[in-house]
Amino acid sequence: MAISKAGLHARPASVFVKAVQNWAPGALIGRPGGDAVQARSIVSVLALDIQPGESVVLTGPDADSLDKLAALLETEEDK
Amino acid sequence: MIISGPVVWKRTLPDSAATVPAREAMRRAASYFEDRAETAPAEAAAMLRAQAMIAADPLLLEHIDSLAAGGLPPDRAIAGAAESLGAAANLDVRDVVERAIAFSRGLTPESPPDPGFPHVLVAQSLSAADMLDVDRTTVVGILTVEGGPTSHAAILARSFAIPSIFGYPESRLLQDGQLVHIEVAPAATQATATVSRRVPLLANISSAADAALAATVADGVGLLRTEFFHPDLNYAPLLEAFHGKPVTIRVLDLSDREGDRDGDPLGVRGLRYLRAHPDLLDAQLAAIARLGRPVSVMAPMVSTVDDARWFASRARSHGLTDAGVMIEVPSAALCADEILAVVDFASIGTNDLVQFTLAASREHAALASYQDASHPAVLRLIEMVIAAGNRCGKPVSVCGEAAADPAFAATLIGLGVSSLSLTPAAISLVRKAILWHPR
Repeated sequence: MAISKAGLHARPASVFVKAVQNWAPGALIGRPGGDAVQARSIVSVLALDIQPGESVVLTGPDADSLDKLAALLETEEDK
Repeated sequence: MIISGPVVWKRTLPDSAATVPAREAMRRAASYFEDRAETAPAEAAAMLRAQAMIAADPLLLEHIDSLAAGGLPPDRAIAGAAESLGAAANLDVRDVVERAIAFSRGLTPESPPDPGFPHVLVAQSLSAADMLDVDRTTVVGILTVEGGPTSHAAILARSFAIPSIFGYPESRLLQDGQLVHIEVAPAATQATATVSRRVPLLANISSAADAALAATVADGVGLLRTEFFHPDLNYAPLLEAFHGKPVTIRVLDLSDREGDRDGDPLGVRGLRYLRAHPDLLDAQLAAIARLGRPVSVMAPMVSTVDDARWFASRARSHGLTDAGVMIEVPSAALCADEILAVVDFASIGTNDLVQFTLAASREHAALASYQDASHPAVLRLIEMVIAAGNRCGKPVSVCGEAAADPAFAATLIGLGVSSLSLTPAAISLVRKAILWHPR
Protein backbone atom coordinates (compact mmCIF):
# COMPACT_ATOMS: atom_id res chain seq x y z
CA MET A 1 0.00 0.00 0.00
CA ALA A 2 1.32 3.41 -0.91
CA ILE A 3 -0.04 6.92 -1.03
CA SER A 4 0.35 8.59 -4.38
CA LYS A 5 1.56 12.09 -3.57
CA ALA A 6 1.07 13.61 -7.01
CA GLY A 7 -1.77 11.44 -8.26
CA LEU A 8 -1.34 9.43 -11.44
CA HIS A 9 -2.13 11.74 -14.31
CA ALA A 10 0.00 11.58 -17.42
CA ARG A 11 3.27 13.13 -16.34
CA PRO A 12 3.75 11.43 -12.95
CA ALA A 13 2.23 8.25 -14.40
CA SER A 14 4.88 8.24 -17.12
CA VAL A 15 7.65 8.39 -14.50
CA PHE A 16 6.02 5.61 -12.48
CA VAL A 17 5.34 3.35 -15.48
CA LYS A 18 8.89 3.75 -16.74
CA ALA A 19 10.15 2.62 -13.32
CA VAL A 20 7.75 -0.34 -13.43
CA GLN A 21 9.04 -1.36 -16.85
CA ASN A 22 12.62 -1.27 -15.50
CA TRP A 23 12.16 -2.79 -12.06
CA ALA A 24 9.01 -4.90 -11.97
CA PRO A 25 7.36 -5.38 -15.38
CA GLY A 26 4.89 -7.87 -13.90
CA ALA A 27 3.60 -5.57 -11.13
CA LEU A 28 -0.08 -4.80 -10.76
CA ILE A 29 -1.62 -1.61 -9.39
CA GLY A 30 -5.11 -0.86 -8.12
CA ARG A 31 -7.20 0.79 -5.45
CA PRO A 32 -7.54 -0.98 -2.09
CA GLY A 33 -10.28 -3.55 -2.64
CA GLY A 34 -10.55 -2.64 -6.33
CA ASP A 35 -9.48 -4.34 -9.55
CA ALA A 36 -5.76 -4.38 -10.28
CA VAL A 37 -4.34 -3.47 -13.68
CA GLN A 38 -0.95 -3.98 -15.29
CA ALA A 39 1.34 -1.24 -14.00
CA ARG A 40 3.58 -1.40 -17.10
CA SER A 41 0.67 -0.01 -19.17
CA ILE A 42 0.40 3.76 -18.82
CA VAL A 43 -3.05 3.72 -20.44
CA SER A 44 -4.28 1.24 -17.82
CA VAL A 45 -2.73 3.31 -15.02
CA LEU A 46 -4.35 6.49 -16.37
CA ALA A 47 -7.70 4.69 -16.54
CA LEU A 48 -7.53 4.28 -12.74
CA ASP A 49 -7.60 8.10 -12.45
CA ILE A 50 -5.69 8.11 -9.13
CA GLN A 51 -5.93 11.52 -7.46
CA PRO A 52 -3.22 13.19 -5.35
CA GLY A 53 -3.14 11.70 -1.86
CA GLU A 54 -5.04 8.52 -2.82
CA SER A 55 -3.92 5.10 -1.59
CA VAL A 56 -2.95 2.45 -4.10
CA VAL A 57 -2.03 -1.22 -3.74
CA LEU A 58 0.97 -2.61 -5.58
CA THR A 59 1.34 -6.35 -6.04
CA GLY A 60 4.05 -8.41 -7.68
CA PRO A 61 6.61 -11.15 -7.13
CA ASP A 62 9.55 -9.02 -5.94
CA ALA A 63 9.03 -7.19 -2.64
CA ASP A 64 12.17 -5.06 -3.01
CA SER A 65 11.14 -3.57 -6.32
CA LEU A 66 7.61 -2.99 -5.03
CA ASP A 67 9.10 -1.05 -2.10
CA LYS A 68 11.08 1.07 -4.54
CA LEU A 69 7.95 1.76 -6.59
CA ALA A 70 5.99 2.63 -3.45
CA ALA A 71 8.73 5.03 -2.37
CA LEU A 72 8.59 6.65 -5.80
CA LEU A 73 4.82 7.15 -5.55
CA GLU A 74 5.13 8.56 -2.05
CA THR A 75 7.81 11.10 -2.92
CA GLU A 76 7.33 12.09 -6.54
CA GLU A 77 6.13 15.66 -6.75
CA ASP A 78 3.91 17.08 -9.41
CA LYS A 79 5.83 19.61 -11.41
CA MET B 1 -10.04 42.30 -21.60
CA ILE B 2 -12.67 42.38 -24.31
CA ILE B 3 -12.08 40.56 -27.55
CA SER B 4 -13.89 38.51 -30.09
CA GLY B 5 -13.60 34.76 -30.11
CA PRO B 6 -14.45 31.97 -32.51
CA VAL B 7 -17.15 29.36 -31.97
CA VAL B 8 -16.25 26.38 -29.87
CA TRP B 9 -13.49 24.61 -31.73
CA LYS B 10 -13.44 20.86 -31.77
CA ARG B 11 -10.87 18.94 -33.76
CA THR B 12 -12.66 17.48 -36.73
CA LEU B 13 -11.62 14.08 -38.05
CA PRO B 14 -12.63 13.85 -41.70
CA ASP B 15 -14.27 10.49 -42.23
CA SER B 16 -11.94 9.15 -44.88
CA ALA B 17 -11.00 5.48 -45.11
CA ALA B 18 -8.33 4.31 -42.67
CA THR B 19 -5.74 2.84 -44.96
CA VAL B 20 -2.66 3.09 -42.75
CA PRO B 21 -2.26 0.01 -40.50
CA ALA B 22 -3.07 0.69 -36.84
CA ARG B 23 0.43 -0.19 -35.61
CA GLU B 24 1.98 2.23 -38.12
CA ALA B 25 -0.49 4.98 -37.12
CA MET B 26 0.43 4.47 -33.45
CA ARG B 27 4.13 4.56 -34.32
CA ARG B 28 3.58 7.86 -36.16
CA ALA B 29 1.68 9.23 -33.18
CA ALA B 30 4.50 8.21 -30.82
CA SER B 31 7.14 9.87 -32.99
CA TYR B 32 4.92 12.94 -33.44
CA PHE B 33 4.93 13.45 -29.64
CA GLU B 34 8.64 12.59 -29.33
CA ASP B 35 9.50 15.11 -32.06
CA ARG B 36 7.41 17.84 -30.46
CA ALA B 37 9.02 17.13 -27.08
CA GLU B 38 12.46 17.75 -28.62
CA THR B 39 11.73 21.40 -29.34
CA ALA B 40 9.13 22.11 -26.63
CA PRO B 41 9.80 24.21 -23.53
CA ALA B 42 10.83 22.08 -20.55
CA GLU B 43 7.45 22.20 -18.81
CA ALA B 44 5.75 20.86 -21.95
CA ALA B 45 8.36 18.28 -22.93
CA ALA B 46 7.64 15.95 -20.00
CA MET B 47 3.93 15.98 -20.84
CA LEU B 48 4.57 15.28 -24.51
CA ARG B 49 6.93 12.40 -23.64
CA ALA B 50 4.19 10.98 -21.42
CA GLN B 51 1.89 11.06 -24.43
CA ALA B 52 4.53 9.39 -26.61
CA MET B 53 4.58 6.68 -23.96
CA ILE B 54 0.78 6.34 -24.23
CA ALA B 55 1.12 5.84 -27.99
CA ALA B 56 3.74 3.14 -27.38
CA ASP B 57 1.89 1.44 -24.49
CA PRO B 58 2.50 -2.33 -24.94
CA LEU B 59 -0.90 -3.33 -23.57
CA LEU B 60 -2.72 -0.77 -25.72
CA LEU B 61 -0.89 -2.08 -28.78
CA GLU B 62 -1.82 -5.67 -27.87
CA HIS B 63 -5.48 -4.69 -27.67
CA ILE B 64 -5.22 -2.84 -30.99
CA ASP B 65 -3.65 -5.92 -32.61
CA SER B 66 -6.36 -8.24 -31.39
CA LEU B 67 -9.17 -5.89 -32.48
CA ALA B 68 -7.50 -5.45 -35.90
CA ALA B 69 -7.06 -9.22 -36.19
CA GLY B 70 -10.79 -9.53 -35.51
CA GLY B 71 -11.43 -7.50 -38.65
CA LEU B 72 -11.86 -3.91 -37.32
CA PRO B 73 -10.42 -1.16 -39.53
CA PRO B 74 -7.35 0.58 -38.03
CA ASP B 75 -9.16 3.73 -36.76
CA ARG B 76 -11.85 1.73 -34.98
CA ALA B 77 -9.28 -0.69 -33.56
CA ILE B 78 -7.37 2.24 -32.04
CA ALA B 79 -10.48 3.86 -30.55
CA GLY B 80 -11.79 0.49 -29.36
CA ALA B 81 -8.53 -0.44 -27.61
CA ALA B 82 -8.47 2.78 -25.57
CA GLU B 83 -12.11 2.14 -24.73
CA SER B 84 -11.49 -1.45 -23.63
CA LEU B 85 -8.71 -0.28 -21.28
CA GLY B 86 -11.20 2.16 -19.74
CA ALA B 87 -9.11 5.21 -20.64
CA ALA B 88 -11.17 6.76 -23.44
CA ALA B 89 -12.28 9.65 -21.19
CA ASN B 90 -8.73 10.63 -20.21
CA LEU B 91 -7.93 13.81 -22.17
CA ASP B 92 -4.27 12.92 -22.70
CA VAL B 93 -5.17 9.47 -23.97
CA ARG B 94 -7.93 10.93 -26.13
CA ASP B 95 -5.50 13.40 -27.71
CA VAL B 96 -3.17 10.50 -28.62
CA VAL B 97 -6.08 8.43 -29.94
CA GLU B 98 -7.43 11.30 -32.07
CA ARG B 99 -4.04 11.98 -33.60
CA ALA B 100 -3.40 8.27 -34.23
CA ILE B 101 -6.81 7.97 -35.92
CA ALA B 102 -5.94 10.97 -38.13
CA PHE B 103 -2.64 9.28 -39.03
CA SER B 104 -4.47 6.03 -39.80
CA ARG B 105 -6.61 7.97 -42.27
CA GLY B 106 -3.52 9.49 -43.84
CA LEU B 107 -4.34 12.94 -42.42
CA THR B 108 -2.38 15.52 -40.45
CA PRO B 109 -4.16 16.33 -37.18
CA GLU B 110 -5.77 19.75 -37.31
CA SER B 111 -4.37 22.60 -35.14
CA PRO B 112 -6.53 25.15 -33.30
CA PRO B 113 -7.78 27.82 -35.73
CA ASP B 114 -5.95 31.12 -36.06
CA PRO B 115 -8.10 33.99 -37.36
CA GLY B 116 -4.98 36.18 -37.45
CA PHE B 117 -6.09 38.80 -34.94
CA PRO B 118 -6.16 38.92 -31.12
CA HIS B 119 -8.92 36.60 -29.98
CA VAL B 120 -10.17 34.31 -27.26
CA LEU B 121 -9.73 30.68 -28.24
CA VAL B 122 -12.84 28.73 -27.26
CA ALA B 123 -12.41 24.97 -27.59
CA GLN B 124 -14.13 21.75 -26.61
CA SER B 125 -10.84 20.67 -25.07
CA LEU B 126 -7.16 21.44 -25.59
CA SER B 127 -4.16 19.19 -25.15
CA ALA B 128 -0.56 20.07 -24.33
CA ALA B 129 0.34 19.70 -28.01
CA ASP B 130 -2.52 22.00 -29.01
CA MET B 131 -1.14 24.63 -26.63
CA LEU B 132 2.20 24.55 -28.45
CA ASP B 133 0.35 25.18 -31.72
CA VAL B 134 -1.38 28.22 -30.28
CA ASP B 135 0.00 31.53 -31.52
CA ARG B 136 0.82 33.32 -28.29
CA THR B 137 0.78 36.71 -29.99
CA THR B 138 -2.86 36.43 -31.09
CA VAL B 139 -4.48 34.20 -28.48
CA VAL B 140 -5.21 36.55 -25.60
CA GLY B 141 -7.50 34.22 -23.67
CA ILE B 142 -8.63 30.59 -23.62
CA LEU B 143 -11.88 28.91 -22.62
CA THR B 144 -12.52 25.18 -22.81
CA VAL B 145 -15.68 23.18 -22.26
CA GLU B 146 -13.80 20.14 -20.90
CA GLY B 147 -10.65 19.82 -18.84
CA GLY B 148 -9.66 21.44 -15.60
CA PRO B 149 -7.23 23.89 -14.05
CA THR B 150 -4.66 21.16 -13.49
CA SER B 151 -4.75 19.74 -17.01
CA HIS B 152 -1.49 19.90 -18.93
CA ALA B 153 -2.83 22.47 -21.33
CA ALA B 154 -3.97 24.64 -18.41
CA ILE B 155 -0.54 24.47 -16.83
CA LEU B 156 1.03 25.51 -20.13
CA ALA B 157 -1.48 28.34 -20.57
CA ARG B 158 -0.45 29.64 -17.15
CA SER B 159 3.23 29.39 -18.01
CA PHE B 160 2.50 31.33 -21.21
CA ALA B 161 0.59 33.90 -19.09
CA ILE B 162 -2.55 33.47 -21.20
CA PRO B 163 -5.66 34.16 -19.08
CA SER B 164 -7.73 31.02 -19.31
CA ILE B 165 -10.52 28.94 -17.85
CA PHE B 166 -10.21 25.22 -18.51
CA GLY B 167 -13.39 23.26 -17.91
CA TYR B 168 -16.01 25.99 -18.27
CA PRO B 169 -19.05 24.18 -19.76
CA GLU B 170 -20.95 27.45 -20.35
CA SER B 171 -18.39 28.40 -22.98
CA ARG B 172 -20.24 26.15 -25.44
CA LEU B 173 -23.00 28.76 -25.42
CA LEU B 174 -20.70 31.46 -26.85
CA GLN B 175 -21.20 32.60 -30.41
CA ASP B 176 -18.46 33.28 -32.92
CA GLY B 177 -17.43 36.92 -32.67
CA GLN B 178 -19.15 37.43 -29.34
CA LEU B 179 -17.34 39.71 -26.91
CA VAL B 180 -15.75 37.79 -24.07
CA HIS B 181 -14.52 39.29 -20.84
CA ILE B 182 -12.13 37.09 -18.89
CA GLU B 183 -11.48 38.43 -15.43
CA VAL B 184 -8.15 37.27 -14.12
CA ALA B 185 -8.70 36.22 -10.53
CA PRO B 186 -5.89 36.34 -8.03
CA ALA B 187 -4.01 33.07 -8.09
CA ALA B 188 -3.34 32.65 -4.39
CA THR B 189 -6.90 31.99 -3.22
CA GLN B 190 -5.93 29.93 -0.21
CA ALA B 191 -2.68 31.70 0.58
CA THR B 192 -2.76 33.55 3.82
CA ALA B 193 -0.38 36.18 5.01
CA THR B 194 -0.03 37.64 8.46
CA VAL B 195 0.53 41.35 8.75
CA SER B 196 0.87 43.45 11.87
CA ARG B 197 -0.89 46.55 10.65
CA ARG B 198 -4.49 46.98 9.65
CA VAL B 199 -4.81 49.06 6.50
CA PRO B 200 -8.08 50.12 4.90
CA LEU B 201 -9.12 48.10 1.85
CA LEU B 202 -10.69 50.61 -0.52
CA ALA B 203 -12.42 50.05 -3.83
CA ASN B 204 -11.53 50.99 -7.40
CA ILE B 205 -14.80 52.06 -8.97
CA SER B 206 -15.68 52.52 -12.63
CA SER B 207 -19.44 51.97 -12.62
CA ALA B 208 -22.60 52.08 -10.52
CA ALA B 209 -22.39 48.29 -10.27
CA ASP B 210 -18.87 48.58 -8.82
CA ALA B 211 -20.15 51.13 -6.32
CA ALA B 212 -23.01 48.88 -5.23
CA LEU B 213 -20.65 45.96 -4.67
CA ALA B 214 -18.04 48.13 -2.97
CA ALA B 215 -20.62 49.58 -0.57
CA THR B 216 -20.95 46.19 1.12
CA VAL B 217 -17.29 45.19 1.28
CA ALA B 218 -14.98 48.21 1.04
CA ASP B 219 -13.75 50.64 3.69
CA GLY B 220 -14.17 53.48 1.18
CA VAL B 221 -13.30 54.44 -2.36
CA GLY B 222 -9.61 54.67 -3.20
CA LEU B 223 -10.04 55.36 -6.89
CA LEU B 224 -13.16 56.66 -8.60
CA ARG B 225 -12.41 56.60 -12.32
CA THR B 226 -14.43 59.57 -13.55
CA GLU B 227 -13.87 59.15 -17.28
CA PHE B 228 -16.50 56.40 -17.28
CA PHE B 229 -19.07 58.98 -16.16
CA HIS B 230 -17.84 61.75 -18.45
CA PRO B 231 -19.25 64.21 -19.38
CA ASP B 232 -21.80 63.79 -16.59
CA LEU B 233 -20.16 65.46 -13.59
CA ASN B 234 -22.72 64.32 -11.02
CA TYR B 235 -20.92 61.90 -8.70
CA ALA B 236 -23.30 62.30 -5.76
CA PRO B 237 -25.58 59.28 -6.39
CA LEU B 238 -22.56 57.04 -6.73
CA LEU B 239 -21.06 58.19 -3.46
CA GLU B 240 -24.23 58.06 -1.34
CA ALA B 241 -23.31 54.64 -0.03
CA PHE B 242 -19.96 55.90 1.24
CA HIS B 243 -21.19 58.45 3.73
CA GLY B 244 -18.55 58.94 6.44
CA LYS B 245 -16.00 56.88 4.54
CA PRO B 246 -12.93 58.11 2.68
CA VAL B 247 -13.41 58.79 -1.03
CA THR B 248 -10.72 59.66 -3.55
CA ILE B 249 -11.81 60.92 -6.93
CA ARG B 250 -9.36 60.77 -9.79
CA VAL B 251 -9.86 63.57 -12.26
CA LEU B 252 -10.31 62.75 -15.92
CA ASP B 253 -7.74 60.45 -17.48
CA LEU B 254 -8.39 61.30 -21.12
CA SER B 255 -6.07 61.43 -24.08
CA ASP B 256 -5.91 63.85 -26.98
CA ARG B 257 -7.44 61.33 -29.36
CA GLU B 258 -10.98 62.64 -29.18
CA GLY B 259 -11.23 61.77 -25.52
CA ASP B 260 -10.29 58.19 -26.25
CA ARG B 261 -9.14 56.50 -23.06
CA ASP B 262 -7.13 53.98 -25.01
CA GLY B 263 -4.84 56.40 -26.75
CA ASP B 264 -1.06 56.34 -26.74
CA PRO B 265 -0.01 55.56 -23.16
CA LEU B 266 3.02 57.82 -23.61
CA GLY B 267 1.05 60.59 -25.28
CA VAL B 268 -0.98 63.59 -24.23
CA ARG B 269 -3.15 61.93 -21.61
CA GLY B 270 -4.03 62.23 -17.94
CA LEU B 271 -2.82 65.46 -16.39
CA ARG B 272 -1.05 66.40 -19.64
CA TYR B 273 -4.40 66.49 -21.39
CA LEU B 274 -5.96 68.51 -18.58
CA ARG B 275 -3.11 71.04 -18.64
CA ALA B 276 -4.00 71.54 -22.30
CA HIS B 277 -7.71 71.79 -21.40
CA PRO B 278 -7.77 73.61 -18.01
CA ASP B 279 -11.48 74.49 -18.43
CA LEU B 280 -12.36 70.81 -18.39
CA LEU B 281 -10.45 70.29 -15.15
CA ASP B 282 -11.97 73.41 -13.56
CA ALA B 283 -15.50 72.27 -14.41
CA GLN B 284 -14.80 68.87 -12.88
CA LEU B 285 -13.15 70.25 -9.75
CA ALA B 286 -16.06 72.67 -9.28
CA ALA B 287 -18.52 69.76 -9.54
CA ILE B 288 -16.50 67.78 -6.99
CA ALA B 289 -16.39 70.77 -4.63
CA ARG B 290 -20.20 71.07 -4.89
CA LEU B 291 -20.55 67.51 -3.48
CA GLY B 292 -20.18 69.19 -0.10
CA ARG B 293 -18.57 66.19 1.50
CA PRO B 294 -15.00 65.43 2.50
CA VAL B 295 -13.29 64.11 -0.58
CA SER B 296 -9.76 63.72 -1.89
CA VAL B 297 -8.88 64.46 -5.48
CA MET B 298 -5.93 63.14 -7.42
CA ALA B 299 -4.42 63.56 -10.85
CA PRO B 300 -3.38 60.75 -13.20
CA MET B 301 -0.22 60.53 -15.27
CA VAL B 302 1.87 63.01 -13.29
CA SER B 303 5.52 62.97 -14.31
CA THR B 304 7.10 66.09 -12.83
CA VAL B 305 7.05 68.25 -9.70
CA ASP B 306 5.63 71.04 -11.83
CA ASP B 307 2.70 68.80 -12.87
CA ALA B 308 2.01 68.04 -9.22
CA ARG B 309 2.26 71.65 -8.09
CA TRP B 310 -0.02 72.84 -10.92
CA PHE B 311 -2.70 70.28 -10.08
CA ALA B 312 -2.58 70.95 -6.33
CA SER B 313 -3.01 74.69 -6.85
CA ARG B 314 -6.01 74.14 -9.19
CA ALA B 315 -7.64 71.83 -6.66
CA ARG B 316 -7.04 74.22 -3.75
CA SER B 317 -8.46 77.11 -5.74
CA HIS B 318 -11.76 75.18 -5.64
CA GLY B 319 -11.52 74.70 -1.89
CA LEU B 320 -10.46 71.07 -2.23
CA THR B 321 -7.89 70.72 0.51
CA ASP B 322 -6.75 67.14 0.00
CA ALA B 323 -5.04 67.03 -3.37
CA GLY B 324 -2.77 64.20 -4.39
CA VAL B 325 -1.22 62.60 -7.42
CA MET B 326 -0.95 59.15 -8.86
CA ILE B 327 2.54 57.79 -9.04
CA GLU B 328 2.56 55.66 -12.17
CA VAL B 329 5.49 57.10 -14.07
CA PRO B 330 9.01 56.13 -12.95
CA SER B 331 10.10 59.80 -12.96
CA ALA B 332 7.41 60.60 -10.40
CA ALA B 333 8.46 57.66 -8.22
CA LEU B 334 12.11 58.73 -8.37
CA CYS B 335 11.16 62.32 -7.43
CA ALA B 336 8.62 61.26 -4.77
CA ASP B 337 10.20 63.41 -2.05
CA GLU B 338 9.90 66.57 -4.12
CA ILE B 339 6.42 65.71 -5.39
CA LEU B 340 5.07 64.84 -1.94
CA ALA B 341 6.39 68.21 -0.72
CA VAL B 342 3.81 69.99 -2.90
CA VAL B 343 0.79 67.63 -2.61
CA ASP B 344 -1.11 66.00 0.27
CA PHE B 345 -0.84 62.34 -0.66
CA ALA B 346 0.24 59.93 -3.37
CA SER B 347 -1.39 56.81 -4.79
CA ILE B 348 0.76 54.36 -6.70
CA GLY B 349 -0.89 53.03 -9.87
CA THR B 350 0.87 49.74 -10.37
CA ASN B 351 -0.59 48.91 -13.79
CA ASP B 352 1.05 51.84 -15.57
CA LEU B 353 4.08 51.86 -13.30
CA VAL B 354 4.84 48.29 -14.40
CA GLN B 355 4.37 48.96 -18.10
CA PHE B 356 6.51 52.10 -18.01
CA THR B 357 9.23 50.65 -15.78
CA LEU B 358 9.61 47.47 -17.83
CA ALA B 359 8.91 49.29 -21.12
CA ALA B 360 6.29 46.64 -21.93
CA SER B 361 2.91 47.69 -23.31
CA ARG B 362 -0.10 46.38 -21.41
CA GLU B 363 -1.93 46.01 -24.71
CA HIS B 364 0.60 43.60 -26.16
CA ALA B 365 -0.32 39.98 -25.46
CA ALA B 366 3.20 38.78 -26.20
CA LEU B 367 4.51 40.95 -23.37
CA ALA B 368 2.06 39.67 -20.76
CA SER B 369 4.83 38.01 -18.76
CA TYR B 370 6.38 41.45 -18.19
CA GLN B 371 3.25 42.73 -16.45
CA ASP B 372 4.65 41.79 -13.06
CA ALA B 373 4.19 44.23 -10.21
CA SER B 374 6.49 42.13 -8.04
CA HIS B 375 9.43 42.72 -10.36
CA PRO B 376 12.32 44.01 -8.21
CA ALA B 377 12.51 47.25 -10.22
CA VAL B 378 8.85 47.99 -9.52
CA LEU B 379 9.10 46.97 -5.88
CA ARG B 380 12.09 49.28 -5.40
CA LEU B 381 10.15 52.20 -6.86
CA ILE B 382 7.17 51.42 -4.64
CA GLU B 383 9.47 51.20 -1.63
CA MET B 384 11.02 54.59 -2.50
CA VAL B 385 7.65 56.29 -2.71
CA ILE B 386 6.46 54.80 0.59
CA ALA B 387 9.72 55.84 2.27
CA ALA B 388 9.28 59.37 0.92
CA GLY B 389 5.75 59.44 2.35
CA ASN B 390 7.05 58.31 5.74
CA ARG B 391 9.72 61.04 5.72
CA CYS B 392 7.18 63.82 5.25
CA GLY B 393 4.28 62.17 7.07
CA LYS B 394 1.97 61.99 4.05
CA PRO B 395 -0.07 58.93 3.11
CA VAL B 396 0.95 56.70 0.21
CA SER B 397 -1.56 54.17 -1.07
CA VAL B 398 -1.54 51.64 -3.91
CA CYS B 399 -4.45 51.46 -6.31
CA GLY B 400 -3.35 49.08 -9.06
CA GLU B 401 -4.86 45.70 -9.82
CA ALA B 402 -1.79 44.07 -8.29
CA ALA B 403 -3.28 44.79 -4.86
CA ALA B 404 -5.99 42.23 -5.66
CA ASP B 405 -3.44 39.44 -5.24
CA PRO B 406 -3.47 38.61 -1.51
CA ALA B 407 0.22 37.74 -1.44
CA PHE B 408 1.16 40.99 -3.15
CA ALA B 409 -1.24 42.95 -0.96
CA ALA B 410 0.56 41.54 2.08
CA THR B 411 3.89 42.60 0.57
CA LEU B 412 2.59 46.14 0.09
CA ILE B 413 1.33 46.28 3.67
CA GLY B 414 4.72 45.06 4.80
CA LEU B 415 6.36 47.85 2.84
CA GLY B 416 4.18 50.32 4.74
CA VAL B 417 1.35 51.51 2.46
CA SER B 418 -1.40 53.54 4.16
CA SER B 419 -4.22 51.88 2.24
CA LEU B 420 -4.90 49.56 -0.67
CA SER B 421 -7.46 50.18 -3.36
CA LEU B 422 -8.55 47.29 -5.52
CA THR B 423 -11.38 45.95 -7.63
CA PRO B 424 -14.38 45.42 -5.32
CA ALA B 425 -14.74 41.84 -6.51
CA ALA B 426 -11.41 40.98 -4.85
CA ILE B 427 -11.80 42.83 -1.56
CA SER B 428 -13.43 39.99 0.41
CA LEU B 429 -10.82 37.58 -0.83
CA VAL B 430 -7.92 39.82 0.19
CA ARG B 431 -9.56 40.56 3.52
CA LYS B 432 -9.93 36.84 4.22
CA ALA B 433 -6.45 35.98 3.04
CA ILE B 434 -4.70 38.54 5.19
CA LEU B 435 -4.61 37.84 8.89
CA TRP B 436 -4.26 41.05 10.85
CA HIS B 437 -2.02 40.18 13.71
CA PRO B 438 -0.86 43.03 15.91
CA ARG B 439 2.62 42.48 17.20
